[in-house]
Amino acid sequence: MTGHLLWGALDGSLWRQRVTALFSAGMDQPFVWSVLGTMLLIIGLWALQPGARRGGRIWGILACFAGLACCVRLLVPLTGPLPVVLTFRLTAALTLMAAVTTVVTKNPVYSAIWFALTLIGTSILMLLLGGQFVAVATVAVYAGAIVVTFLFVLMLAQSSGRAPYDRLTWGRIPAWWGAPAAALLFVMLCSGMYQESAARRQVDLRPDGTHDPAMYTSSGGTISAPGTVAERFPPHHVAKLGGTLFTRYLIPVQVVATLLLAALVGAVAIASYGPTVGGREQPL
Amino acid sequence: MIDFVSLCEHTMLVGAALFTLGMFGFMVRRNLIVMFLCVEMMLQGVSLTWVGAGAYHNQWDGQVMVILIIAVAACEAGLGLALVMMLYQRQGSLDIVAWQRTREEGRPAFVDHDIPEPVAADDISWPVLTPAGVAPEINQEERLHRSHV
Repeated sequence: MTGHLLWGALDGSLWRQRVTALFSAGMDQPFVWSVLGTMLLIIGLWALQPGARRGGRIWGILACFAGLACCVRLLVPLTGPLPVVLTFRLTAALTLMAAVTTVVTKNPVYSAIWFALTLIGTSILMLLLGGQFVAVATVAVYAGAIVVTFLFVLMLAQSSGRAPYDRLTWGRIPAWWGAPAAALLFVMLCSGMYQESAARRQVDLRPDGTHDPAMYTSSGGTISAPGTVAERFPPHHVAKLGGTLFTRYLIPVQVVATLLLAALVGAVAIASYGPTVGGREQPL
Repeated sequence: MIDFVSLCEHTMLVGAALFTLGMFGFMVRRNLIVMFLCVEMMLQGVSLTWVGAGAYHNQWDGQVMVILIIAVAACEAGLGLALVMMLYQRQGSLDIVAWQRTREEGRPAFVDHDIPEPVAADDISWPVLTPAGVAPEINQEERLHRSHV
């Protein structure tokens, strides 16, 4: 199977095969898409990083989304009723757009607000996959508490005006290798998913556009049967989530509870001042 | 009926993109708080991937993991922001480079080469409010009692 993509690109003999394939009639489509996607992502992220030329941001975002579209080509295309597909695509685009803006915007306050939008998009995506409780918890805990804490700290610690360090990256390694590292990591993750979905790509689709669950198994051995959210997650499924959480995962829950307590004590110890003796602050 | 498995895969792709963007931001940005936000974004990408993978295998474990991740993220945000506050009070700046004296011995110091000139758009001009209405009467007794307000 020709689905090893970048891992294969590191292998010399495979590389030679692919170069010959590029110039022959049968072009290795996934390889071409992944290389094109990597290039576009590198260019886009380079144009987006803080020290870059002014005015390059729109081109950077366009290049990033073009690279992402190339990587999406590696997966089995999303089929289904148009409203659902459209909802997914719009939400994904909104989430990624907000995420890009979080990273590249110069004002940290706007950064935090865009991050809140990213969280809302993420929770909508979780809702589409049937994760009702986690979607609500994400909005409540992340967007409701953590982002607000971020804004509080920004209010307390923000320097007046815009700081020059928000418009710069530092050193040669982040400036030159940040974008290629990120692009390669993303395409590598995509190629991992490609290998998973390549098995499904071989399988003929049923006439109604769905896959026959008996025709394929994923690598974990668990058959992932297609179906609607309602079929896969029957009513009262939040109760089932709670059941799993407090039976099979009881010990992790206890550990996390202890961790929360420890973090509370630690945060108080870090943030509060001890008694001052002779003008010097004493440890607590 | 939507192809649910494809939906899971595409959601995992979004999760991978969020993780990667968070990593990129962590490498590239210098503001401590924005770096912290980028770490949170990486966690969010992992959460999305967990939900996608859990739905893919039709298991609850993915969502349970997301709940645990949210709890750990809350801990991390509390501790991390307390640390950021402390660092800011010591240094007076959120710049990560201000802490470069903690680097390894013998390493050369990092010097900013091309500091951008402040552009006109960056000069924040605050709005000027014209006073309107009648000045309220100040209760002197209350001022005496609540001098710290």
